[in-house]
Amino acid sequence: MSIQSIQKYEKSVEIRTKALESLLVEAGLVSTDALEAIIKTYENELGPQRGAKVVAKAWVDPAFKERLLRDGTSTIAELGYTGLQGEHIVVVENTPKVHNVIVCTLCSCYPWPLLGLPPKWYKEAPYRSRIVSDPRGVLKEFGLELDDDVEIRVWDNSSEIRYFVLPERPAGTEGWTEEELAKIVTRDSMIGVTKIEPPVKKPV
Amino acid sequence: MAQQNSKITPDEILPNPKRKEEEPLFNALWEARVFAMAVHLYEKGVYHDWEVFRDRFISEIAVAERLPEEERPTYYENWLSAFEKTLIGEGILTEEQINQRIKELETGKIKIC
Repeated sequence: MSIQSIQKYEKSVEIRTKALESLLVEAGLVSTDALEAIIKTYENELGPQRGAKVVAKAWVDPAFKERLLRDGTSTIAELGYTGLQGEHIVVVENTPKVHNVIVCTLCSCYPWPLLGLPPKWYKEAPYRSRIVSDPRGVLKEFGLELDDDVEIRVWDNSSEIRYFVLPERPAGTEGWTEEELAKIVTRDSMIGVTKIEPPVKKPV
Repeated sequence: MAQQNSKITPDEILPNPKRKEEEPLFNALWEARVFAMAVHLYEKGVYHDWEVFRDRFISEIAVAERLPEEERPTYYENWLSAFEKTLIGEGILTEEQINQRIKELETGKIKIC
């Protein structure tokens, strides 16, 4: 494609979007304020910090964890995390012998209320197909080498259910508070492509 | 590897270099707008079920992935096409309305910011 045709093409998606928006505003179905509010929410409020809070709470509160694994959706709703793509959440727990990882093989379904919108690689074909056909190999590319006796379970979000991984609490965090623990929980560990490494002490 | 040092406190740890979560959610304004429109109409109950949109999105992706890489639409281009088809398929807008409006915008007959 030439630069001119690329520019023209970019313009065409912009114009198509504007056309839809202006027609929907005229029909009274959409307001620009509401769209801006949604964009702001997804950019600022939804994100892995929410999932991290759930994980940290599960690590310090056994009763919460038990409820979370039994009924993810309503237990997560206790924290106010509800909404689109969070209607049916199932929490799967990583243990020394079972490692869980999530994918959406058909598009990009993901637990939005807990993790926000997915990273680019999660939405792309290579991850979506290869995590199913070669999970061990893909995890290795993320830097996660699992022993042969660890069972890998791949959960496909291409149904009504959105899966969420409860990662293992790393060693070296004994006695930490919930807030402190939440800070070390990464997005990728809740997708299941990495583990949370034990904290490393800063050199003095 | 695993460091069993319970004496580490949270303010003493090294930042995790693997934590790369700062990619922008949207690469252009139109991507954010078309994303928000699909969410907004669902939240307002204009289409009763997210599947109404998602099924079309899945079809767009499936078609796109059969194309050679250089011709393949991007994620939000698929989203836009799926959204357009949802609006038409659910009787919310007609194809003629949309094409007419695109023409009006292209020729400057209608201006919106």
